Amino acid sequence: MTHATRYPHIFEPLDLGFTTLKNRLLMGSMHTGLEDRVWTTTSWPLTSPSVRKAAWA
Amino acid sequence: MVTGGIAPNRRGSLAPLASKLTNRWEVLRHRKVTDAVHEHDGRICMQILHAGRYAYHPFSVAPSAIKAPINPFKPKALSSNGVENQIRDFVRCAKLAQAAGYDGVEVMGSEGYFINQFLVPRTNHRTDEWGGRFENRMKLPVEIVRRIREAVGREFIIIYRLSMLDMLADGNNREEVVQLGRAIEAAGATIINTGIGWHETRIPTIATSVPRAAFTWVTRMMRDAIDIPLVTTNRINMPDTAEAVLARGDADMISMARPFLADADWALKATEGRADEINTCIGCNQACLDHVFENKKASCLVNPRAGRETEIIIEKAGTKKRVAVVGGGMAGLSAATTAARRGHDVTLYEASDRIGGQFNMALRIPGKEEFVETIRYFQRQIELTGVEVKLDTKLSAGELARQRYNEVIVATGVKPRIPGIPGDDGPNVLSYAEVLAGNAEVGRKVAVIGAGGIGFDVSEYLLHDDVPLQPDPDDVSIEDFFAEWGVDMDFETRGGVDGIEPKRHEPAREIWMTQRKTSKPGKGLGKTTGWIHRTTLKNHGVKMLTGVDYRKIDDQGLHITIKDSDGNETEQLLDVDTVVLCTGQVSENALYNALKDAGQSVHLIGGAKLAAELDAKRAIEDGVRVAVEV
Repeated sequence: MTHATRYPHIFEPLDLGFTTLKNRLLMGSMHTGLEDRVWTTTSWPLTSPSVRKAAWA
Repeated sequence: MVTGGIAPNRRGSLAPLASKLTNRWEVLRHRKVTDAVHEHDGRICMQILHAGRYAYHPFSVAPSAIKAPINPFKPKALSSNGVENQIRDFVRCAKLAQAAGYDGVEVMGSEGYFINQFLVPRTNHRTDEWGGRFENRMKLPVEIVRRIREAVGREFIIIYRLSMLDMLADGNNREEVVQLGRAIEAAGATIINTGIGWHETRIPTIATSVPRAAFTWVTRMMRDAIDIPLVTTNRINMPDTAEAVLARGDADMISMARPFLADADWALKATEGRADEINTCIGCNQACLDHVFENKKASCLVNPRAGRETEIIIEKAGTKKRVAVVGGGMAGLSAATTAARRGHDVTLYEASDRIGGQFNMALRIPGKEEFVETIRYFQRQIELTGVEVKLDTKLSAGELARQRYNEVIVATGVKPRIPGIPGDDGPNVLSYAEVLAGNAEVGRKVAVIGAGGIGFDVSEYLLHDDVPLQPDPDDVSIEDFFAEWGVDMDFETRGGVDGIEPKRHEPAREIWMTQRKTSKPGKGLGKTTGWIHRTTLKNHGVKMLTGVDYRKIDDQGLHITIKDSDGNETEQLLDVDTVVLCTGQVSENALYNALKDAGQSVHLIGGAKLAAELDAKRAIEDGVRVAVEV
């Protein structure tokens, strides 16, 4: 069930002409101390919420 | 997503060996990141960040050789040719980012970095085509964007992070910001992102005390002049706030960084109507920004798994156990909810009538209203995970042992330390806990003993009357905040601050803050927020005394001896009505020892284990770490 209607503006796609963004959220730039150790990127936990959720179910 | 800043060349990197993207060999490493994001249908841009005079190494370059007040290294002024070389490096970096699979780049033009340094006379004294009048000073970013667009083709995102409000007396004015924004759009940018303040600005921009969505009016001012999408930012941490900002048309997109450290499932929870399950960013900076400044990996105070997802793994427990957690403060809440999530049968005992422990005090400090969210988060997690909570319940070791729990986690916290000054048990003496509980009478003239984090918090609290018992972070006034810090919300002055006098509120009390040590008061406060607390107290007349020896407290007040740097001693009487003790705390660990002696399997966490300084970061992390192991 989706409740996106509660936040219609947040979840409205944004058309950039050549590509479309799914929603209006941008994870802004921040230094994490991870990008400075690029050789560790193999262990980056870039698992999306949906994947993690699946792992939990 | 936008990555952390990647330098276009060695000289522009933030620190020695900090990340850069300057050759094809480095492209492969970025592929791992871009592939991972694309696998989940995300879009990712790489931020190109040239630090200029903010680079923390001796090889830095800038428009002019002027040292930054926050950096010991003086930059070298670039020759005209040198400027051309920097532009070329930005373009090379963007092309490499494209080769690495990024969907775009963000050109970092704000926060006082290299590009920003060209834009204002404070840092740009050049006499060539890159200096002098504004048209010349703004040519650098426009050229960078124009030439990147030329090199990467049409189908590549270019975000330009525009410094919309420098908050420096000689910063850009509104007309200049609009002029630059228009030129950046014309040069081929896809999106303009908002930059607020320089790193050397002494006005809070992202700390807890900044009201939610306080700066979106700045982005709003650009909307009539700019056609491409605008992103707004700073202290937007909950879906209702974000939705309201977009709905009133302040911007086309919302940028958040720290809120995604606090809860990676933020967007998922918002879509599914589970906003009350979001672990909210409280803007404390203690485990993210402060860590990075200390050269440690960023994590998150309210979410210790941030940045350590592969290290701390919460899995279903092999055997279901009966677990008792004693103490409903941050450590206990974190342990109880994590253990229950793993499938254990958890009972949480709390001696008082509510969960939250020391956070119930912290949330009453003006500027720390966000702390209510953390308690709300844990309350919801308790419901979701089925932790059984027993309030107003204090069990003895014997009673607990009789319940035959498989594991007992002791998170009984701390109690205020009494320093042992003659008279510190007098009627005019209160502990910080008594003051913040809100029902003790505090006089108009107050001495606060101890200038650590709690001393600062209590002083801030005592500057106000009528602090609400349960504050609402959405009720914090944006207008009052900007008035207090001297920011012009009409942006009719240079940098939004030039000539604006900060408005002080009338302090509710006259306060002396004292400490034994001769070091600067508040030395141990967070690197990125300590100056805010010091400034606020000083601006409201709090007197700070260091090198203080406490002789006694009587009905006249606090009798002290002050030793100056030459060793001369002066006796002084602070004729205050009330003395407040902020002299640290001691662990409440008697229960742990008793249980251990009784042979119970028992674990000690949080302040009960170590009470050196009230430390919510360690408490929450302790709780999670013990819970993944039981």
